[in-house]
Amino acid sequence: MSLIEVEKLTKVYSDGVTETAVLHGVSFKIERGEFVAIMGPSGSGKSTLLHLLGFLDDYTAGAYKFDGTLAREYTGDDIAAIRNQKLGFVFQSFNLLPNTSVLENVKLPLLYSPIPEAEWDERAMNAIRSVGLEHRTFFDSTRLSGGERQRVAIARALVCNPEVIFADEPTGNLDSKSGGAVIDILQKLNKEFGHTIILITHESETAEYAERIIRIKDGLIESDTMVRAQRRANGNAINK
Amino acid sequence: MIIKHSIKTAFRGLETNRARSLLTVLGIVIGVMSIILVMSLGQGAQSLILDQVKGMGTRTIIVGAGREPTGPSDAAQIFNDSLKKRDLDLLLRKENTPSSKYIMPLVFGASSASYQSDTFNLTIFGASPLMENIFDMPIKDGSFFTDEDIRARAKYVVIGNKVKKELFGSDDAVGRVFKMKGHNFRVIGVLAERGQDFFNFDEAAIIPYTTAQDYVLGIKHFNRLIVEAESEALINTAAEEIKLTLRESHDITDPDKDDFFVITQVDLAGRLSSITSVLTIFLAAVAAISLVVGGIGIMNIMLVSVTERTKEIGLRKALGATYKDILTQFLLEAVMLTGLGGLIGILLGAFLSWVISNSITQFTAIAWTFSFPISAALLGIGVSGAIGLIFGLYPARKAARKSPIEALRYE
Repeated sequence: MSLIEVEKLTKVYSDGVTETAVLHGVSFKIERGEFVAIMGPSGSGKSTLLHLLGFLDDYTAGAYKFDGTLAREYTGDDIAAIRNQKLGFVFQSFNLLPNTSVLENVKLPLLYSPIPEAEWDERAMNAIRSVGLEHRTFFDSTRLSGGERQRVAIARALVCNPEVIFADEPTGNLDSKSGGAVIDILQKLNKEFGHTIILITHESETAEYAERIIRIKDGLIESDTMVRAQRRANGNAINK
Repeated sequence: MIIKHSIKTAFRGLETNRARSLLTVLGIVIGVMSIILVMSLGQGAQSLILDQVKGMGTRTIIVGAGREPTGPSDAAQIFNDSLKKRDLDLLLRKENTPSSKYIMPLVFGASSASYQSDTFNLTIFGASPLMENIFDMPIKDGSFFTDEDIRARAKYVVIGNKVKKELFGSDDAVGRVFKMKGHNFRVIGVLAERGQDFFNFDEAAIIPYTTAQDYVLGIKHFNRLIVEAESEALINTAAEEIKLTLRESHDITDPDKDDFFVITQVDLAGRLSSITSVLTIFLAAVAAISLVVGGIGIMNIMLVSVTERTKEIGLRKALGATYKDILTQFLLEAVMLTGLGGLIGILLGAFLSWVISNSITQFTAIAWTFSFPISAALLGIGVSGAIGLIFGLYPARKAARKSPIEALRYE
């Protein structure tokens, strides 16, 4: 059973007068443990696709199965629980709470989780450690650099140990060095901890870290290629 | 989400906008404060009045001439002269009124008193020596008149403290003679100062009722009969005996046609306290209008807050907050805001009431006591919390219904 299964998925935005079709029916499957990059120019529908996969928005037609169950069969509370425990989000604009410490930001999803409070601090600290920010634990989120903020966002996405991490242009607001660090962390999470990563990007250098690239153009899948071999080769080259 | 964390989150939301939160809550503060003030002062007034009525003694029954007036058009009844000497004699027979201990006739009227070049307007009470017991009036100087003085229509007078000061200043008053209605009265006693009372005895001259009827007021009837029952338990029996005796004496068969009225101290207290209660409730209701205005202010600012924090709401939803979580967060913010306002209002109201009570006792002769009704405090907290719930519900629902992605996109 695939983790994510999408069949002729369509999304049409309507403001009551005009209808704008963003996705014209896309189909693919994503297995557990994959690192998939979804690429495409702006307006191609890649972000919309991610929002649909992340239960942040509702699709118009087609079918989306998550964990073997049709998305529409989940209740509102089920969906909140899935977002909380099975999905993690990393946004382009970080979306940290201002005037709140790194620790509190990372603990935010735990507030809505069934995880007992006694474990919160330890889990949050582990997540912060895995993005290498333990020296910033009690810093106010507004005092961090962009790269650090995005790493806090990753720690927050990680803290409930989700199956999938959705990253929507995570490097879009970062310089190449901190962007690289962010991608490295995502790769590590995929390789060492087996998190499924779905990364949206329009930069091909970023996409190259993925094992599989799905290209989208005008609401349709243009190509869907496995690049594992190539990435391995690059990785080895860098490591040496 | 555990309620402890909901409270923490809501508290944080309020703290971020501390100045705005405080300003918003001002409407509730003022509303609750005025309710507390009105209720506290109302209770103070009520206990003051009740204390004065109780000063008459819990066994006191008042018999009045004429039907008790039921409305303004009925006022003429007050001047009825139905209580005569014959009635008093009948009532004084022990077989007619076994449950009564004392029965004292009372007549009253206004008069001016003059001594040398000083004049003073006072109230004349024509009474008997029983007055001293029934109204518990300590004599400061001299003594009260006696039953012998009643028979003799003696022109003796016991004066209130203020009368003494006005006419005689700091001089000794006992033994001096002053004029009322063209007759010379000799002062035989001065009452101790009483302060504002049900009857203002400080400005009264008490003389034998026979003297008052014949020389001062020129009447043959009594205005009131003051009766003291044998015991508190017998007060209603005593009242009933009086009614029966008077009806027989006046040939009345239908109680609705009584040309006299009998009220007990309990009746009087009940009647007066219901008047103050109605007044208090009315004033509190007026004050409550400001609470509604305050509630609208809360709703307004909560709507602003929901819009401002659209992104935060989207984020929380994306991280797993349910509809209920968001609803609870914003409802709690509203309730905590109004609850806090209620609390401040209660403290301010109680403080103001205390200041007012203190000034009343300090600057007037009224024996006002500060009272703070717990019911008012509970009402204040309850009402302000309820206002938070009612006026917070709409903004909170608006927040909870936001679609996460639209909220996240909001700039």
